[in-house]
Amino acid sequence: MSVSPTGREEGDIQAILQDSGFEEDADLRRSLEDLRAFALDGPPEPRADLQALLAPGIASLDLRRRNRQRRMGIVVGAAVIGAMGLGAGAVAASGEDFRRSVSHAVVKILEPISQTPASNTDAPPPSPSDVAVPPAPSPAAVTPSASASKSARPAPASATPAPGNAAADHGGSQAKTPAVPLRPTTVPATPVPAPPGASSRPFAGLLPLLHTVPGPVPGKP
Amino acid sequence: MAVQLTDDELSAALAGDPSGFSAVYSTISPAVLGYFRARGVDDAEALTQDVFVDVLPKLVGVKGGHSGLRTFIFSVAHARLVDYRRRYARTPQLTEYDPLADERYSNSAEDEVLGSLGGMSSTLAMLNDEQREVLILRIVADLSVEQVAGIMNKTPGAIKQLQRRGLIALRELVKEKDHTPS
Repeated sequence: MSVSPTGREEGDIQAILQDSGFEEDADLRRSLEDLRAFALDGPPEPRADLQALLAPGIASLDLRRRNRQRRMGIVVGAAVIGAMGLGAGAVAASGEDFRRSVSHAVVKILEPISQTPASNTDAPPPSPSDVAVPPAPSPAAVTPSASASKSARPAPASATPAPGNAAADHGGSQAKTPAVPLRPTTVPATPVPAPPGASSRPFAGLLPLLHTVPGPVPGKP
Repeated sequence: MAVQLTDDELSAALAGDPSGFSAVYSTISPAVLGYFRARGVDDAEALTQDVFVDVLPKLVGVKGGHSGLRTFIFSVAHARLVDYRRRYARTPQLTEYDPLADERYSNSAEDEVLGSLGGMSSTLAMLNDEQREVLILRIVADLSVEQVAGIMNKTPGAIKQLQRRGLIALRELVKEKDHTPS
């Protein structure tokens, strides 16, 4: 391996030999020149990742790779959540038992919540006319209205033109009271001084019927 | 080693400019490749490229100009070589058929003629590991005594001592080799 060293390299080898006191040793000098020939090959052909570093425009592949990984994580997470939603929907659509058990579980969960406060949201409002009922409990009005309600039951549509004073008799105070599991037919049997709110909740469905009472009420006084 | 890095290329490389990177690679990678070859690494080119993939993005923080850059690159190369040696020692050895190890082998006439040219690796292999490392870093990597001391974590005096002992051993080996064939 013949080496054609530049002056500087020649000087380096000479300096190394002088440091150790072998500057006159020609064999050793030739050996060191052979050793230096290891570094005389050209640069190796850069592979792809090194080429990307050497090419202008791409500073680092790591940054791009990290961004792509973060984006992939978001996409995969969204896909997993969507697939879980689709699966739960498919099970609910196919199984009646599943729906029933889920609704039962929801009711079980919501029941204590709805009973702890005044629970005035349990029963849906029976008709729009109930909403305008002002709280003015009148025990006298309850008795005839309950009897009249039985006759008026097949015609609930007549509740709509109910006069305001009749509605004022039964009242929204009933709607505000807690639910008591009484059948509507017991209403006439209850004594007059019963607390007006005691039977509010189960009668919520009857309120439109009670509004048909206006006939007797104005005639009473 | 024949091509030197200009100041503009050096400042471009230290500023993170890819044109400076390619200049650094074309200037210093032959020395790194020669360093690995002289140390007997199997795939010296791959290890050289590993070194530069590791080194080039970190050039922005390098101080010390030309010699600082060279010291930094060969520090990484030295660490890679140590890792390679450890990994090599742990992996099982796969032995291929070696015609030279076959006893029914007769010396090749070409090898006898050209024997002196390819014999440097075998001569180096007979040196002490630290002596070999010092000589290769001094001559192939073209580093000063102080730079080699920094890379090998030794004092400059220890490096000079290792260099002297390495040269003495090398001279003995060369003399033996010269006398043996004749």
